Amino acid sequence: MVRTIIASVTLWCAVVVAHAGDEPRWAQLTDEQRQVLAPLSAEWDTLRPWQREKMLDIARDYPRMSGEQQQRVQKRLSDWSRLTPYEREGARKQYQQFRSLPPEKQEELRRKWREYSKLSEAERRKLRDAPPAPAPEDDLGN
Amino acid sequence: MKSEDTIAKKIVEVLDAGARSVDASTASRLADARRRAVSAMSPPQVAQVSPVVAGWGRVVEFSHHGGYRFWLPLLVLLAALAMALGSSMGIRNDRPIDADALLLASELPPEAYADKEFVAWLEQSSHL
Repeated sequence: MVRTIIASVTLWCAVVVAHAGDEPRWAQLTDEQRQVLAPLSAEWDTLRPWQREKMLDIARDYPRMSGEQQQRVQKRLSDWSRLTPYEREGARKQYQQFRSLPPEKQEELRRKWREYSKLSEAERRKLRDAPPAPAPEDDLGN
Repeated sequence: MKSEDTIAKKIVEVLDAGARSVDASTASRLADARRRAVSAMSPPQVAQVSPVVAGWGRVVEFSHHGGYRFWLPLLVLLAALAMALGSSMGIRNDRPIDADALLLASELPPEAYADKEFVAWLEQSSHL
């Protein structure tokens, strides 16, 4: 009986591992997946397996989004895939904090982002070179 | 292993010697008793299998006591395959939308969350 259980678990693990390592190449994607992930077509086969897996998760949820959200996703996919894992993880944390803010605070941050986006490169360089302000906490909760 | 073989041979020799010393009438009665015992035995229990399954041949010739040894791993394997296929085909539609998908679809672009200069600018502007 013990040997049977061990054999069963081994079989199950083999199936799971085989499935986990089976990330598809671009040519193996479905038409729907290729349509959503089109901005990544040139670099898809060079993405790491876990990156492909995350992108496939996004493609899976894509039909459940509004038209406006879908446009945003397609526009941002390529830049998102080029961020380092560290940058992506940092962005996820900031996004979680952003979502926990009350709506008026979120709107204020959106306004500030628009304002910040209009800064010239020279102004941003000046900002980079400025000594860090002794701020206790920023609007994103850091 | 060799010592086991040696002991087994000795046991066989002792049993053979004992059997040879049994007299003819006792041997006849023993043989008669054995025949009666064998004829009184019920036929071996064989599981009922459908003609289709039976067509698989000797693989499915199992008893009630040993059947699970074949079917249990097969059932577990089929369940694992079903789970793997289910996840790959996106059957789990009840799950919430992926966090990365929400982030990409949000009003603020990902750069707003990843840009440390923006955070620094927020700090600075909040103190002006």
